[in-house]
Amino acid sequence: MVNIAVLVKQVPASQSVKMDKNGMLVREGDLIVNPDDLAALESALRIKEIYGGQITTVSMGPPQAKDALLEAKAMGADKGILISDPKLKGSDTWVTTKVLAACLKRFGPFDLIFAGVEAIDGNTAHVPYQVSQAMKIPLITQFHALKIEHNRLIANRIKGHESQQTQTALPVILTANKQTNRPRYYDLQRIKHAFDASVETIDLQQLGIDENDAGVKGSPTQVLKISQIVRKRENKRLEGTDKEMGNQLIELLTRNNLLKT
Amino acid sequence: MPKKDDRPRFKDICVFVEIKDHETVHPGSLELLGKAREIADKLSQRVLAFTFGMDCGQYLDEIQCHGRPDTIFYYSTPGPDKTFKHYNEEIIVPLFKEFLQQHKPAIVLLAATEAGRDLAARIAAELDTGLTADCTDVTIEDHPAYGKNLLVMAKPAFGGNFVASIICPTRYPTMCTVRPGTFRRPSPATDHKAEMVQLTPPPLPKLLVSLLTDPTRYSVPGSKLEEADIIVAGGNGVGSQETFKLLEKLAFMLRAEVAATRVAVFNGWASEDKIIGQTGHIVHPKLYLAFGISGQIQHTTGMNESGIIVAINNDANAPIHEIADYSIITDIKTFLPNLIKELEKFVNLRFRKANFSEPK
Repeated sequence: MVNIAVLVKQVPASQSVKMDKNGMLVREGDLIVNPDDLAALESALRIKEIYGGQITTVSMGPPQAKDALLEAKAMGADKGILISDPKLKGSDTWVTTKVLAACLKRFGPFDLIFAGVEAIDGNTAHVPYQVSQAMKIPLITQFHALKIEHNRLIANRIKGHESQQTQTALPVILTANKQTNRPRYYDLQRIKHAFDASVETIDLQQLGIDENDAGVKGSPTQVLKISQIVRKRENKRLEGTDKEMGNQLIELLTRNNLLKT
Repeated sequence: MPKKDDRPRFKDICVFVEIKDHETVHPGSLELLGKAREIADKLSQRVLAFTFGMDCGQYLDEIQCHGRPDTIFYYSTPGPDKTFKHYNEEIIVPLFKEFLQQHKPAIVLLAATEAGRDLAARIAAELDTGLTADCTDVTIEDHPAYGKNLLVMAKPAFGGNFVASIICPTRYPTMCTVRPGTFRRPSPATDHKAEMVQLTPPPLPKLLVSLLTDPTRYSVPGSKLEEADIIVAGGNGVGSQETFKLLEKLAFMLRAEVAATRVAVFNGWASEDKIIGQTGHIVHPKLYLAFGISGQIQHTTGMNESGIIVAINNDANAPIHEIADYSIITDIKTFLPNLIKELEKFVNLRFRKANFSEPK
C-alpha cells in the first residue's frame, strides 16, 4: 500500500486572462486542471494499480479550484484537499511552497508526492524543487519507469545528458509532464461519482500559517507593475502572384544580407 | 531572514556559471556575465562568478574573458573523480548556499537550464528569498517606497502580451533565472585577468539518490535554434507532412533552422525539440518566416523578439499578421514550390550539397 499525494493546480484554459490594476491575476473564462498535473496524477494512478494504496490530491486556490480536485476524482483520485483562503491571494511560488508543504505534512506522511513540472499560467516550475528542498525529500524529474522494492523507489530517469537508474528511500517527490505519459480518459461511472463527491477544504489557520507569511504580504517577490508590450512592426502586406511575392521575399533576404549564395 | 537594514551588507552581482555536459561553458552563463557586468558597473560593484567542474581549470579562461568578472570562485576535482562532473543538487546546493551566505551578493543570476532552475529554486527556498523565473530583462531602478538600486526583473506574463516588473525588495539576495539566448554574449576581453579562487569542499553529504547502474550517455537532440540567423517555422496551416518537407528544403537553401508550433509537432511533422514558444525555444533570429502559423500567444512568446517577421498564411485575419513586418496571404502549397524554384536561381545548390546534408 502506497500513500500518494498529487499536487494539482487549477489554471485558465487560455492565456487570455486579465489583470486588475494592482497586478493581480483575474481568472476569467474556462478553468482546467493544469496539463502537467494530469500527467502527475496518471503516474500516481499507475503506481496505485500495481501496489495498491490511496491517492490524495492537494490544491491551493480559490473556492472554485474544488472543480480541479473533483476532476481528479473522476480520473481516479481517492481524496481531495483544497487549501483555500482569501489571505492567500497574490502568493508567490515560495509562499505556495510553504503552504503546500505544511498541508503535505499535516495530511501525510506520504510515500510518494507527484507534481506537474510546471503550470501553464505561471510557468516558473519552482514549486516542486522548493517543496523538495523545504521538506528535505529528494526529487526525481524526467522519469520514465518506476518501481517500488522494499520501501525504496527505483526510477529510470534522464538527468542532464545521462540516462540513469536511481534508487531512493521513500518518501520521494516526482515530477511529470507531457513526455511522461498520456493521461487516461475518465470513465462515465467515475464522472457520475465525482458529481456527488466532496473535497475537504482547509484554511491558513487550520494549517497553522500566520497570515503575515501568506499572500502578497508574505511573498518575497512583489509585482511592481504590469505593462502591455507594444512592438512596432511594419505590418505590410505583399501583393502580387506567388512568383512576385516570392521574389519580393528573396529581395528582402538580399537587402538584409541574409541570402548566402 | 535579512531585514532592510542589511542592505549595505549585500552587494555585488553573482553569476552561477554552468559547465555544459562537462565540455563547454554554457552560452547562457556567458550572456549573464555580460549582463552582470552592466549592472555591476552601474552600481560600482563587483561581478562574482561561481562555478564547478571536473578539471574545472580548463574553463576559467573562457569565463574570465566574458563580462570581465572580478573574481571566479570554483570547485574542481581532478578526473576521474566525478564529484563535480555533473550537477548534483545534493552536493551543489549546500556549497552554493554557503558561498552566498559568506559573500552576500545582492543579486544572483542563473541561466534557466535544467541545473540552473533546480539550483535557483532550491537556493531561494534555503535562503528564504524571492526568485523570478525566465526574466527577459533586468534593470536597476529606484522606487519611492522600496528604496534605491532595486533589481527590476521583467518577466513576460500571459503569453508574452504583458510584461510583469518584479522586485524582491526586502530579502536577499534577489534571484532570477534567464533563458539562454535572451541577452547578447559579450565580446571576449582577452586581456582581462580575474582573481581566481579555488574553494575546498567540506566532506560531502551522504547522497539520498544513488545510482544502481553505470549511467549511459543520453544525447539530447541538439538544437541550433537559439543561434540561427534565419528560422523557417511551420504551423498547422502548412497542411501536410509533404508541404512541411518543403519547409526543410527551403531551410536548407537559406542555411536556416527549421522550427515548428506545438500543433505541427502533434501532427507528427516535426520533432518535439523544434517547438518555438512558451514550452519550447525562445528565439530571436534576424528573420523569422512563419508558414501557416496562426499566431497563438503560446507560440509568439517564443519568437516575437525576432528581427524581421514574415507571415505566410492563407488566413488574412490570423493574429500572426499583427506582429508581422510582412504578410504574404496565399496558399502555402503553391507558394512554397514557387519560392524554392525562384531561390534556385540565386543559391548554388551544388556547393550547398557539398557542405550541408540535404533533407530527404
